[in-house]
Amino acid sequence: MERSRPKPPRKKSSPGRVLVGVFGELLITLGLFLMLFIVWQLWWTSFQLEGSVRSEINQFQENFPPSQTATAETQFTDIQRTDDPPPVGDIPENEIFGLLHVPRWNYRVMPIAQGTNHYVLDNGWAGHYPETQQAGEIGNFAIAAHRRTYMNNFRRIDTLEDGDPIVVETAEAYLVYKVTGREIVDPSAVRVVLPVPNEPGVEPTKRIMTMTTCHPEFGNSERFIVWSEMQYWVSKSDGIPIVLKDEPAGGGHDGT
Amino acid sequence: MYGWIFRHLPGPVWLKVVWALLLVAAVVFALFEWVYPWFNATFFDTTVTT
Repeated sequence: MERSRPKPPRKKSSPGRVLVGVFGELLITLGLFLMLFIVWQLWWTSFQLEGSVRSEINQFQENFPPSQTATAETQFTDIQRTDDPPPVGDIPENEIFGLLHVPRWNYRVMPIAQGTNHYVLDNGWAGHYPETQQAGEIGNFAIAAHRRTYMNNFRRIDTLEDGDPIVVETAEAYLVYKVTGREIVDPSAVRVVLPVPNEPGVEPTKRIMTMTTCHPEFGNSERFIVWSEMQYWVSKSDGIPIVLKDEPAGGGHDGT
Repeated sequence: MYGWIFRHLPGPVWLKVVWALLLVAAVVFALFEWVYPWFNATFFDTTVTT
């Protein structure tokens, strides 16, 4: 039990040594701080939200189901309408009023809520710029979401190709947009969310959707913009648009 | 700094280790719960604004 080896007396450290030691430990601390931040940002924020976003999607689909009479085989329809879709109406700030389906992103589904504040975006939802038009309206329905962190919703925005369908599900309808273009802009470029994007003062005639998110993927210095134009809409009483035929229940995952 | 903290934790070595782990857990919790959300909101944004 007994240890006979005598402990060497502690070296009296000089002030210089102490200073260097503290400085070194501060650097280690900073390294740990940033490393943990990456863990938090890339993994924890999404991990934390996965359950709640899933239940918000389910909740919306339970509240506003497509045609009840259809069977699993007959629920998909190619009835496409091009008149005015049912209006979404005035939505209070922070309230979910729709779902965004993106077949290109492994049929990812996310809630869309009113407002682009941190409460909305940090809940893993896409947020509607309240000063822009509503979904399906003539003009510009502009939404924002995180590229990275909080579900990484628009992470794959650079993979969207012209002609890709993007579906906005509202309480009564599925609005089917098709991607028409993209641009990388400065964060101050509010012109992209004008009723006619990039053309101030022009009277809109088309139903445009603008998606905005961070660019580059891990940065914040620019914004990645994708435009799409509404092609047609499908009434929920007619069923689910055929472009969502392969979507798994509750939406797919892209593994992030 | 870390050595100084460890020396000032009470009890025998095993208890000091327990204390140290608790402190680490508390710091990580505070970072994940408050510091990082603030840090992120301050330096990262996704919307276009003037």
